[in-house]
Amino acid sequence: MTKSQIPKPASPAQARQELRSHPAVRNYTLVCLGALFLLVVCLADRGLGWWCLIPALIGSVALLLHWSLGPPMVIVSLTGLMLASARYRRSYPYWARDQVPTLMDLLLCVAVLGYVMGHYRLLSLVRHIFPPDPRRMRDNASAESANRRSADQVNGRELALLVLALPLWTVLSVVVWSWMMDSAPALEMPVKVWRTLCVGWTALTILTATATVAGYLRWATATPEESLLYLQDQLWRPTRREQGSLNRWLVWARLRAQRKKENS
Amino acid sequence: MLTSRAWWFLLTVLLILSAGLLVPSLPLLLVGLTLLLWFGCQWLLFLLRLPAVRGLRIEREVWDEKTAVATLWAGQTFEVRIRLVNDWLPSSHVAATDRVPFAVEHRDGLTTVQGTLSPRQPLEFSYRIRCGTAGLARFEGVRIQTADWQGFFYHAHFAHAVVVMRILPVLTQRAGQPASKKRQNLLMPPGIHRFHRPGSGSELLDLRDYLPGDPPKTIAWKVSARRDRLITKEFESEVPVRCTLFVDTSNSVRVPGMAGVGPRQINYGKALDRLVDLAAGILQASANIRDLTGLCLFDEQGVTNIRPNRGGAHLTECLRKLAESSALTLRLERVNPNHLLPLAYSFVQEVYPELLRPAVNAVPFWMTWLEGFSSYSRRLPLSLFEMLRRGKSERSVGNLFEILHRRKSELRTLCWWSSFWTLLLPLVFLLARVVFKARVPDGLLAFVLFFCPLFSLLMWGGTSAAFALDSLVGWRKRRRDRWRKQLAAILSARYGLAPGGLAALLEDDDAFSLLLQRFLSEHQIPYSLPLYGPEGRYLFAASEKVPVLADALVRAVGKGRDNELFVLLVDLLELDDCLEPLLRAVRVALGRHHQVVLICPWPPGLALPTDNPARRATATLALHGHTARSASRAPQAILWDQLTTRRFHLAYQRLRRTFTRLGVVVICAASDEPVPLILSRLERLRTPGRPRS
Repeated sequence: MTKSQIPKPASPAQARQELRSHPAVRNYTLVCLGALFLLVVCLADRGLGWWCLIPALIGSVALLLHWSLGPPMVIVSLTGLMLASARYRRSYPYWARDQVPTLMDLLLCVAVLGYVMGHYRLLSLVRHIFPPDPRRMRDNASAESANRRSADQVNGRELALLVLALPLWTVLSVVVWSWMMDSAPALEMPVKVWRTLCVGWTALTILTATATVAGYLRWATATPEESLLYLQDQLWRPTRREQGSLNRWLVWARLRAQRKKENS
Repeated sequence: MLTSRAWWFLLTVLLILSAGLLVPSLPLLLVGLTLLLWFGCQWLLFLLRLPAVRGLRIEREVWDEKTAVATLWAGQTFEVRIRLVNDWLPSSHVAATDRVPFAVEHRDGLTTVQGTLSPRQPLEFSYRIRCGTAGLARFEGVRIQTADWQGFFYHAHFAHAVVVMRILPVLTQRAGQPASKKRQNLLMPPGIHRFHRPGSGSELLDLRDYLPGDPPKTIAWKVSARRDRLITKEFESEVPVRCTLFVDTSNSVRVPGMAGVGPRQINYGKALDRLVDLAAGILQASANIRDLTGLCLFDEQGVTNIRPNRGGAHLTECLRKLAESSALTLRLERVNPNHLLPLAYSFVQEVYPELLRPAVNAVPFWMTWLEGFSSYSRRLPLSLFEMLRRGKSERSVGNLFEILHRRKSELRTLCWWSSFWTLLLPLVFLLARVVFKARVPDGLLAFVLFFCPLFSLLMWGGTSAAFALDSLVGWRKRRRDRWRKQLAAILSARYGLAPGGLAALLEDDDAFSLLLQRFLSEHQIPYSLPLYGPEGRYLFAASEKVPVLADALVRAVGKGRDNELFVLLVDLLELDDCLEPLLRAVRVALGRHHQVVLICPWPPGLALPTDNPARRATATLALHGHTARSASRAPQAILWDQLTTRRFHLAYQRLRRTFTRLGVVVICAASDEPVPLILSRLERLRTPGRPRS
């Protein structure tokens, strides 16, 4: 390849433009927009009127500007809207064992999950998938491109899996919900407190068990150097003062001998 | 492991879940559960796939234009091919970045590849490098970053696959190199040359009258018959010509400087690069004409010898030694390790992230806030008297804060002791008065009862204020302490000093600094050290090398025969006071009818010394032109450059005068002369009938 044939690297603005028009970016944007549309439909079905557009508007702006806080903002706005509407109407039923989620509840789950997955994957393509290295923050453009996921890596299988995963996770959550409904409250606790505790403790137990297993595996596969460092640290911490005093005297003696030698 | 993106998301999911449970609201609960389940499963999946990243196999090959190679050559371009093989489950999204050694220059191709690793589909990538000067290229391995597609979970790992490849010096055919063809049609053993002195050769030199004791077979019978007296034949000598190169590898030639440019546009970063290049040129020229060439590498500590020999294996061995010596970096005792800490820590963060994990190498935050490390050997001069006399200087105030930071532990102990005594003293006085009926004056008792608690309170108050001051202004010191402790632990474990090495390295700055330099040097990380000591003395003159070189030269003379050429590639500028041992050794060599040539490396970027007034004027003009071009520089800097140049010129002239008196040729290594000059010297040795010097 001669020098003239070597393609020149694209400017940052040009690269950004190319990235926006990439099929993978376009597909994920469409997934997000579809999810937001579904969200609007679900909220409109609840009779929220024009208010149902608020989460969708926030989500669209976040999508346009590639805000990494987009999904949390959509979730928070959705929560606020639902809570406000329930209080305002005073007709929101107290859920119980015999209450069955409606199709619109399930579609709401699908919409939110779809938006969250699509938006975060889109961010990985257009912003960064790996957290930016603070040491390389000065060179902003190159750091961003190095931390970005290549859009060419996205294939049709990935999108199909995403679409398939949406109903799957929704169904799974319904299963967990029905399991929660089955458990009767203990110690005469209020139902909602009991169920909150159930969810919290289950999540914590799973988290702790997983972290323990992962930690054990990490220790089991530690290199000899890591193990030596650990042992050295364990010895140093309780005896650091004594070791420090001894070594201070040793250094003092060495320096004194050195000074004497230089003076002589 | 969780990124900020994941933390924010988790927080909002918990919010929606709590709202769904506590309000309660079925749709919110379902949404929250869906998101939480999905998030948890993503996390589990990521954890399951992590061993794939940690157990990666790396296959690396370096190719020239035809085949895979094990040795690199300076100034040439090679292709590095890397293959990442995974024997576990398919991994999450992975970005692998190969760490390009400092000794080579990345030309083209990507050093980073992205994708998913599966047992069936390894990741492959390649890029091209161009080797710089001779030395070592150390490929550390590949940095692996892995994350899920959403960017919630992240793990960085460095897959170590250390490969150290030698970069051998450039071999070039130089103009003016003596021909390797025989001048006479007389086959001689390799490396043997005719010498125009009577000896046991086969070429007739002269005829003379027969003397008793001459072997009868040398009598020229026909000539004797013609002249009617016995005439005997004299033959030429056939002698080997041996050249020994003494290459200086001491600290003085390892000092990095402005880059000069050598053959094939190789940038010389230090004087040693130039010397190695010269030595390689002479070795190659001697090998071509099958002369015996030896190599002696020396520094302040000792010498490494390769006896004079010939042949390809010998040449390769010499080039390897030269490459290894070219990779040597500065080494200095008694240097403040804080100069090297940021560089070393940054490198460790990148290459050994597993050794900085809090689980194995922790620095609890309270340790740096409440204690600090004392570092005994780097004592700080705190001249309070000077502060009072001259007012506060920045350095004195800095030292005050530094001492405050280091002595927090002692300050706390002092507070406890003062509290103990302020409680004990009044108690003792009261007991003495009440129980033992001792006469304790009321005034003294009142003084003790009042002032002791006050003193204790003041001590605690002052200490708290000092701690608060340190916490406000000492964040850099706390960071430095954290770096130092973690690096000391790693060095201690790496160099076999554990378990007590950590505490020793925290106290002993000199030992820590030396180990840090060794660590960086082993990893081929270029670093800089202060060139001048606190008293303004140049730290890298390396005068200790002169006796080492003198001993090596005398030993070589002792083992030498006739016709030896000793080439000293050594930096002796500004070492006039220490030259006596070397001058004696040179006299011995010359007294044994050997030849000595001295090649002095010249700092790159400085105007060359020259005898010719016209050339000197040109060099001066060039220097002025250079300074005029850099008009933006401060006048002090320009003046400093001119003074430095002048100082080096004077030093070179003194050196030249000293050695020329003995009959030793002194050459400046910055010019293109040295290799042809040495080769012409060798040629003179080979020339029949050369006069003995």
